[in-house]
Amino acid sequence: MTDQDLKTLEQRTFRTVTDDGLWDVLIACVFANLAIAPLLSETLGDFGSSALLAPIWLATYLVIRVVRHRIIAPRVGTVRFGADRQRRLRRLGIGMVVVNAIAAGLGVVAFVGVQLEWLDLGNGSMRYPLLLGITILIGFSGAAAVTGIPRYYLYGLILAVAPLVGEWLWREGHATHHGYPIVFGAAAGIIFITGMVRFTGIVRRHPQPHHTSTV
Amino acid sequence: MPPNHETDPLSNIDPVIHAPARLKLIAQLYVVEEADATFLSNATGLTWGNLSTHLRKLEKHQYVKIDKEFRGRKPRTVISLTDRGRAAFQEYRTTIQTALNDLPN
Repeated sequence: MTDQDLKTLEQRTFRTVTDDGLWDVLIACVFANLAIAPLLSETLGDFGSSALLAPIWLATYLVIRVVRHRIIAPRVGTVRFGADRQRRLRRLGIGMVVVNAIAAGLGVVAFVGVQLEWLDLGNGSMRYPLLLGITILIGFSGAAAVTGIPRYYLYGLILAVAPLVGEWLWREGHATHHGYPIVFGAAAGIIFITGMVRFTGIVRRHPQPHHTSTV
Repeated sequence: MPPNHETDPLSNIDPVIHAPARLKLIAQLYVVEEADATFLSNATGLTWGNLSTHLRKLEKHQYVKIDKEFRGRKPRTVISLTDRGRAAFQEYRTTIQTALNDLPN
């Protein structure tokens, strides 16, 4: 049993207890915001529409925690990982905060720039969608590398391409709101279905044990 | 004739760890800080009864620590490798690698 075997075993253990599809549901919920918020912005304003959806993210996160505690943990079991894994997860958390801050910063700059008329997003420029796509790709690639869950690379790719396709659809006159409702709606749908399929599979494969007190 | 422990590394192999089921358990516990019985049963494929038997044996040799606790109203058994168990597994790995490397091709 080599060091590599043990490392692989640790990675498999981490995936077994964390990759239950519920993170996918949360990711889908967050990106569904990019599809829904532009549609609501006409009545609620740009910030109002996002602010309305923020409590939905929080509610989804809380529901996911309860489901994980009540449904996943009794079936799959629970594990506390060593210091090295915890350190890497902390780094991932910091990385995610940085990536989200950059994405939010891009949004604020775009909003303020358009309001003050020194930024024109109306000419179908690919600069902003490209920046957003790269930021998303970096975030998801980091998450995939740390968690060892390869489909996050695919999510990163789908979500990075989404704003570019959306911009193109909008420029060609096939979509409104820079195409966001279509492309991010579709991406969120794919991610949500993937997560639910994984979650259902885990619940079906692991019936709830009834004799945990006997060991 | 009894085995010569200096020249025959295979005779140094710890029989408590060497059993396949216990080797799986120890290796699994080696890569984490602690795990509950449900996870270990799933990860090793051991039935509840077999898991209990092997864990008792490891506990008897002070290789693992078994704690029972309640989460809400549900009982939960948490297992972790002791320092002695960790050292024994490291020694087992060294011994088995040495033994296998010494075998003729």
